[in-house]
Amino acid sequence: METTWFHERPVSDVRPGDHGLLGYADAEERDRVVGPFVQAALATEEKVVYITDEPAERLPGLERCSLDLRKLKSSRQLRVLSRREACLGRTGAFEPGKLSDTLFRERESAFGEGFRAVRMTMDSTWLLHEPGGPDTVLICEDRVDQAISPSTMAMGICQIDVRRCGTRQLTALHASHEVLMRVDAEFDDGILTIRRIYGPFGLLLRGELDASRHSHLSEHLLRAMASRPREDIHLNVAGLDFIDIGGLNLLAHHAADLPRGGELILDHLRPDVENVITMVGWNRLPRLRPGVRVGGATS
Amino acid sequence: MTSFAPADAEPRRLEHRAFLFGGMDDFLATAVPFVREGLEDDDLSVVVVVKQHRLTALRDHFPGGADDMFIDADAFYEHPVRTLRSYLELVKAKDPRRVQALAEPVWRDEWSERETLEWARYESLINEVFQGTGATALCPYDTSALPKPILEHARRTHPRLVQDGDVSDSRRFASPREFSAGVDRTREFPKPRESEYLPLASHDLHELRRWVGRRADRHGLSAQDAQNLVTAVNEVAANALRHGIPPVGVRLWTEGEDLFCEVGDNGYWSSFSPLAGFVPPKTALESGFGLWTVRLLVDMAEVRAGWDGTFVRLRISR
Repeated sequence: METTWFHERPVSDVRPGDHGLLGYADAEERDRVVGPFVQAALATEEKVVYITDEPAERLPGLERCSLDLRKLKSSRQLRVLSRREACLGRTGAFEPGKLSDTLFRERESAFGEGFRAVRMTMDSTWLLHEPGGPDTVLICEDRVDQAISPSTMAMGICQIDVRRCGTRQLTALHASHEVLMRVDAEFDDGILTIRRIYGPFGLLLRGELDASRHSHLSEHLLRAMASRPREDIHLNVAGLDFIDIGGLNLLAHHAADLPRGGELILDHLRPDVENVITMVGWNRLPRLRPGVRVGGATS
Repeated sequence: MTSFAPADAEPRRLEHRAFLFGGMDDFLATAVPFVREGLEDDDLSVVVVVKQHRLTALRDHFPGGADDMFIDADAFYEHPVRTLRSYLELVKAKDPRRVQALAEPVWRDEWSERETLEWARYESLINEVFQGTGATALCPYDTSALPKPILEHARRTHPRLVQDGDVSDSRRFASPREFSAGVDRTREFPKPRESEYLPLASHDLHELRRWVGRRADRHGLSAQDAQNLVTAVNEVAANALRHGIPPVGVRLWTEGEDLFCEVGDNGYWSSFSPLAGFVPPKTALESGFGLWTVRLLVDMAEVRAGWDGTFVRLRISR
């Protein structure tokens, strides 16, 4: 099971006071969280503060969109601040005090500018390699937290590229955030949830899979397969309580369609759910195999 | 000496023979050379699945025999559909060597006639499932101890008989399809005095699973058995909703240790085969995988495809 002493929250459920951590495993995951976060703000009367050296038109949610970015900037609804403007000192080093000032200033001015909320985001991965490394990131997070958590109108997402972050650093970062940001579920009818996962890439299935939900799984599995044609596809089934026999048949069909001998890997399969597979034998499910077991070890 | 090698040159042909013997000496007089012949041939892999006291007697003749070659029949013959699956796995694991099996099915006194018939069906299915594997199966039947009907089944389910050192064709042999259809004809489906009924209208079977799960718990099934039953009922119900004709519904009742669950619909399953769901499919992609899995999951699954509808009755004991 995923360890969750903190709250996991799909990006669409973000609310004022949330200071969320997004540990992303690749650009798609980042874009699927930060994109909707930014777009939801600009679609309503909320302000976006994005600290980055990238130009606005290349940011998640703003790339290839139909919004008039110049107009949004001039109305101060979209604030794309370079790191130098927002948090670097004259020597180019990170200055926590300056970051605090920037965030407070942007937050306080929002109300006067007519916005009902402020959404702030920054990719903090670069801070890992600044002098002081991981500690600097935590100091930064502390400042962001002070600017957001007590507020009834601010929310923020700290982005970290987990591929460039050690396990201990990531654990410390988890501890400094109350909320973990996730991509939105692709399907959720209260019985079955299907969500894209990254690192390893695939889908998370939670709840119960039966014939009335096969077409939804097919649709999202095919999309995932199409987006990564060179990879195995992982299904995190830690939270899957039931899979019907037709579901096994469906997975075998899709596995047979994976290019280049790719496999469909079932991670965290619970013993009570695996029982039906053991009964028929994994050999009858070609190119399907168990991956990480409940509790961790790979078989 | 009788030779057990297949008589003709056709490769991978199954030899399935009933060995009718009386007493230990008679048993050993045929069983020992059969096992020895297998051990001396590098192309063969010997498996011995017999009752404990015969196992002990045979082992004495083969002190160098590998331990995994000798299997206690009481543990092996546990559930006909599962045993057939395990047997097939074993034969596949030995490939390209051909299996030379001394395989004595277990017949228990406490069984109902129905259960005995299902094991006779198992013997008959061997002819279907292992054709083309080149396996040789010699199935001991103790004529001094077994009731007549079981010996009659042996003659109907084995194309060849071995008795008093002679091999002969069994004139009573019936093809697996014919035998299975005969077994099906003798079945009875008594109506329960009291039962609960859940009509199914929607393809969403979440409510059905909860309904069956709660009753399975109440009956005292283990969590795994309850989950297996739920999976089986769900599969049969999904099929009825997909292929059958409404009304579709599930009837559930208990009888002593047994819990029964019967899914019925108004459709006529015209292409029904008496072998449906008994022959292990190669993969989940083959048709018949669903019903075969259902048969694995419960103690017994009986399909009745009649003019008045299609019914699948599942039984599982606590």
